[in-house]
Amino acid sequence: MMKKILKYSLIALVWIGLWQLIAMAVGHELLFPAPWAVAVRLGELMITLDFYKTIGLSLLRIVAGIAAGVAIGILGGILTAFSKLARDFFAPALAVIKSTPVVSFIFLIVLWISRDVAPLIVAAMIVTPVVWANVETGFLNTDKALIEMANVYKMSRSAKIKHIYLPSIAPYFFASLRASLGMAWKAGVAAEVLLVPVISIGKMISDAKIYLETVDLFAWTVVVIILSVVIEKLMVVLFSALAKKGLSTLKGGEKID
Amino acid sequence: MTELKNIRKSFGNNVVLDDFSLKLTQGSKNVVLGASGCGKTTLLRVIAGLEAIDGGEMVRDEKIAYMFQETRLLPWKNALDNIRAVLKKEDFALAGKYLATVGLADAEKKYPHELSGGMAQRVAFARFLAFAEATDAELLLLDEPFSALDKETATKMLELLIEFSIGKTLVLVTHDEGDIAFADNVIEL
Repeated sequence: MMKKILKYSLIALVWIGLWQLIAMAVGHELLFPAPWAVAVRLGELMITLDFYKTIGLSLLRIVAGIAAGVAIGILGGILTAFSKLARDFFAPALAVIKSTPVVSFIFLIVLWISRDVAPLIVAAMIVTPVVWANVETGFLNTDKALIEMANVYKMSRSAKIKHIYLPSIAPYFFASLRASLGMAWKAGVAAEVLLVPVISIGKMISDAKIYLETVDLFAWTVVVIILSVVIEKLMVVLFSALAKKGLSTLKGGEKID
Repeated sequence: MTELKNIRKSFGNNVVLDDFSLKLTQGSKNVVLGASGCGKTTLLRVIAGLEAIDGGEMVRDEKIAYMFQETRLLPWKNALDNIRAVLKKEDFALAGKYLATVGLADAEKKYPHELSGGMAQRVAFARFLAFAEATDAELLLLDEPFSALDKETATKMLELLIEFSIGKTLVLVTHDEGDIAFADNVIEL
């Protein structure tokens, strides 16, 4: 464990050192601030209440969008796995969502709904098609021999879902989370930067750009990166725990391991 | 009682069963013999209702227990939970009982990938026995259930099966002619 921490600390130090060297070579804080200046600014921001309010509201919008995208993706994936008609029906819609530029969606949402919910919907639109496709693939790739075994042994529908379908889908589902969460977070923040909801990380980044406060821009970008990693890890841990709970429980709710 | 009359079953142009008739009297012990690919598994699957027939008539017992040629264990569950997964909660005790019966009491926490081919087959056999007891199955259908076992263990398991099947109808698919000694009826395909 200590060896691992030491290794990753060293890697981080090398990258920060590289950042420092570039900052020294550029020689102008306005163009490329040094890591220390960014750390100091981050420290200043972190002792204000507004910092947490800003992060909280951005998180609320984007995580709500991610959660909605996951829910829609799961339901849609299950539906299209079982129905060829539904698969054909939704295929064009999913293709459109996947290939339409995010900015087009952002401006359309502002036009149709409101700028405050745009980051939420954008995050959902990034996550939905990825989770949808993977859940569908997971269902379709479920071992038919195991399903036949379950039918022969008269397993109930809920037991089949719990003991066969869920474990079969889980790897596909987690892969879709890993692939889409980071993208959704970044797209949500990008929507905020374009639409500047009153209290948001996007507004802080946008203000920093307008007033040429490059140190602030870097500091808020660091916040976005850290939150991206934290969200991804938390979501994967949360869904793994949920799946594990589901997978290790038999009929009647009795925990067996 | 289970009866097949003039059954026809084909896969594309390949006719596997043609005008095939069979009567399995209650409590009879039947062995199906034949070369690989002659249709033994298809016959068993037809009897179990796992394959739709192209023609003929069939009457069969309602309570069936079936053991597949492959183990079909759930890879994410240990041996004990693989058996429990096909049982109702009130029958969970049967899982431990039959794992012990097939000599795998010590392996109940092992996952399929940690078991040898023979051990996995015995877990599948224990699951079959537990399910058959729990559902009071009248017709026992087994497709080469001991093919991965050494001769000595296979003989023990066969004795166990014969004892278990008293009063029940048994159909055993095998390629081992040594298994026919106990049979009332040998079906050669």
